Amino acid sequence: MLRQVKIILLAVLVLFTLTLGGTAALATGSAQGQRVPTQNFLTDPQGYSVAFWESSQIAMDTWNKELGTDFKRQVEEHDQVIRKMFEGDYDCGILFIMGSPVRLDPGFLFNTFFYGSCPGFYNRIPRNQCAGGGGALNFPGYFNPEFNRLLKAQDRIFDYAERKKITDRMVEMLVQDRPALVLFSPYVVHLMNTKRWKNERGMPGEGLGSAWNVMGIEPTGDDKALRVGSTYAVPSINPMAVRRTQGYRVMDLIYDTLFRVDLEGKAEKWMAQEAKVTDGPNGPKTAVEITLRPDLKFHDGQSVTADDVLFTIDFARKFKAPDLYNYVKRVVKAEKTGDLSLTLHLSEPWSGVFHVLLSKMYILPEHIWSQVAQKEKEPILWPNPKPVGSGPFKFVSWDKGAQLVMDKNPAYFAPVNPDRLIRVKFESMETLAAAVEKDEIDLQWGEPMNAAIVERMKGKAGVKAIKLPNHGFAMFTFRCVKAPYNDPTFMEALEYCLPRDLIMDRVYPGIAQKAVSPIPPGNKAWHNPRVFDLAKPYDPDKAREILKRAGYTWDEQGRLCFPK
Amino acid sequence: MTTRFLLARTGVMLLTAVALLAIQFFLFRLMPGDPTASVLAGGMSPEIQDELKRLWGLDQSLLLQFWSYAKNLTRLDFGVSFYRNVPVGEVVLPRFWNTIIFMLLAMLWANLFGVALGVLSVIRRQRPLEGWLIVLGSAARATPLFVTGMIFLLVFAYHLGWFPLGGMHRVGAVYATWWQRYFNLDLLHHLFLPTLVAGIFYFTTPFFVMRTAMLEHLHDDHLLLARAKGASPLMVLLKHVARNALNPVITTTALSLGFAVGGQVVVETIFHWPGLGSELVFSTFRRDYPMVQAIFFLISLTVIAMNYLADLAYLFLDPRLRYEAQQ
Repeated sequence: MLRQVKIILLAVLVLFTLTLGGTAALATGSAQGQRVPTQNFLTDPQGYSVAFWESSQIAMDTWNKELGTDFKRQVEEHDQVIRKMFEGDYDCGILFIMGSPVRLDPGFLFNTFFYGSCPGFYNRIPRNQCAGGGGALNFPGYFNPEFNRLLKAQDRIFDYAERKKITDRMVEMLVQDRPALVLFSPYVVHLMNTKRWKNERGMPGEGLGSAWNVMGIEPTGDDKALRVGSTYAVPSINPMAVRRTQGYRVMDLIYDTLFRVDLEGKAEKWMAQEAKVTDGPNGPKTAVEITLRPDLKFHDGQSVTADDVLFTIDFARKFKAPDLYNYVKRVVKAEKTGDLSLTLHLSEPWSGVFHVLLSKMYILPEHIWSQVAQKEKEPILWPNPKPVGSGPFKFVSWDKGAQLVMDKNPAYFAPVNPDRLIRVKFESMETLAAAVEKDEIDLQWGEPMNAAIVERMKGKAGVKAIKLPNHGFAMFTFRCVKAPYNDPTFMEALEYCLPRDLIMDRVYPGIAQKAVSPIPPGNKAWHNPRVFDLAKPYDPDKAREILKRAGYTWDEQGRLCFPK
Repeated sequence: MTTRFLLARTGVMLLTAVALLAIQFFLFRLMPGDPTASVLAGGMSPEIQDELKRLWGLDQSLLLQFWSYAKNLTRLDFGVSFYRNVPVGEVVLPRFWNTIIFMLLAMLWANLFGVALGVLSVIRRQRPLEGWLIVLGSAARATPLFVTGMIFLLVFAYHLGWFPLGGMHRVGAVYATWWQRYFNLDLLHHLFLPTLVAGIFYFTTPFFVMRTAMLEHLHDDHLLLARAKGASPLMVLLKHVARNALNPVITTTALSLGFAVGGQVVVETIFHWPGLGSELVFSTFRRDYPMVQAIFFLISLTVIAMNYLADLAYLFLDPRLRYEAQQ
């Protein structure tokens, strides 16, 4: 009798263990001892980017051959790729993170791409139910409480050196945790015709398209009309509706900001003559006191005052300016302290206020936009047919989808060399390159020139291909909340088996910089060179060895199986 | 009775336009993809995404969206572009005129060459020239537009420098009025090469139609009478055969003009001509519904209008049809 009870108890125990194990396995998606299932590698169509297509093919072939995995390509249109990644409906994929100026700030970058507010973020819990929401583009579903703590801490520190120490540690954590494997950082290559202009200035990620270059480039003769060409269309000239890098390029010239991101990637005072962080009613370092330059004028001759800045903040908050709203919300109160001075009260200390908010908030003329706010049903949709800003250039005309013309603002407080700026939209890189060569266009903006054309342009008189560092990067992203990517050993093996050098040589020969972290060397102010020592070199034997040590096996067909 | 025929044709034309309006509205919304996905790429919060959906009317049911769309269209209001944040009409209408002017000139080339060479091939029938002309016509049609376009661009613009590399006006030209914009020598200089390329591609249709129609009419009885009256063989061909053969040429030209309005993506891309085709491709990739709908609507309307005009032209040119319509 006792023996029968023991047997029944044992059977119950075994069943219980099996059930528990099975549930655990199901929860993480791995089945003990079974083959690692086929993994779908999400990519855009080949035509969207041949380089990314080739990069992912080389990686998949290497992993499948060396590790016995079964990665297969899943092709979707680009917006579907983004949608799937956003919803966590994918295994792994390739992405390019463009180097916009705001992404030079590590706080912004990490908050957007790697901040996860709860375990299972993007997995079982809908993202809007996660406390704090999480990073809008945290595609891997990365969640690391220590990373989050550091992210919060660096957000409150205004001292560069102190903040850099923390962000260095965070970058190292990302390289070691591997929610994504950074592949490389392509240079921004832009063409320039040197007959009429000289002494160009490049900016990380922007190439020749930054306002610094447009204002500072020097003419070689008397003709001071600068003709720039881009394959990107100007999307909007409403500074409150602008959502895209190519829109910012134009807005940066017509409108002005309190701060500007300099050529090194740091936010510097611009319309603001003085700016200091002090203690406020919401706690230490929560008040930002700003004094405007006294010589600021809008293009219609009216002076820029503190009222215009307060109005802009209020407008962005009230009408939910798409790119500003999330940040302007952190200013709980803004008060005027003089005609040219004001104080912003933040809800909590925020070191990104200068880079993320004040460098991209274009100051609106209150005397114009207050009318818009009253008369227009949806002021954010107002097309702003004749923009009046206080930037270095005045709007002249916009032939939509073809040409935008601006004239120098003679009352601008900083030197501006071109008298006229003409931005022409091209339909293809080939015709744009030919126009530069044939002296119809002086400079290229926007989308970097492709390698084949750059090669062809070598030796052409008067044409220069300018290769500039970038802080944008290409990466493989993995859903690290599910198997096999939730296993650090598997991810380490994938990195050991990632032929980064081969990919760079084959796909971006000579036009990409080695990068292993989301802050590539192109972002001089925040790059941490130690990450190169932490990244794993290409070593397939080592990859197999660590998998074997962790209990992974291979079946008779050579397919990788989970540990038993 | 002819009036009744005209009214019936007009009614059919209007019904087709309304049906197309509804089909294209729902068709684009059935496409995979989401217009807000491009916004997601910018890393916006769900709150802002919802606000944009509200601004764009995407938070409403499909039927309500369609109702607003149709209602606004009666005021020629195509809505606001999701991508550009400007009224769609401000982008699409200038591009529509750019395309119309482009296609009219391209079709002028096509028909001048097509009809002239068609007549010549019949005049020189059963001689070597006829064979060469047929080879030329077939080759022009068989050569992809991007090949012809690139060759012409390379030779006449890039190497010889006779024409600009593309665009509609010289870089930096600013025009105050519509008239100044479209009636100037600079525009003609920019139009010449791209319209010639398109004209070469399209000339084969009038060429072969003209040739075939003339060959069909060569043995008509009334030609015997013309010859009996003492008309020279050339005059018989030009006055009696070619004139009768023009009817199908006019019909096919009207139809192809309608289709060509939206189909110039390749030429527009090579010569970066700011027309409807390139904008259509650009907006489709960005799921810019208001823009795509407006472009498709204008293209469809042009096709329908051209069909209608072809019917009317046929009625005018061919007395037999007038008789049938009256019966």
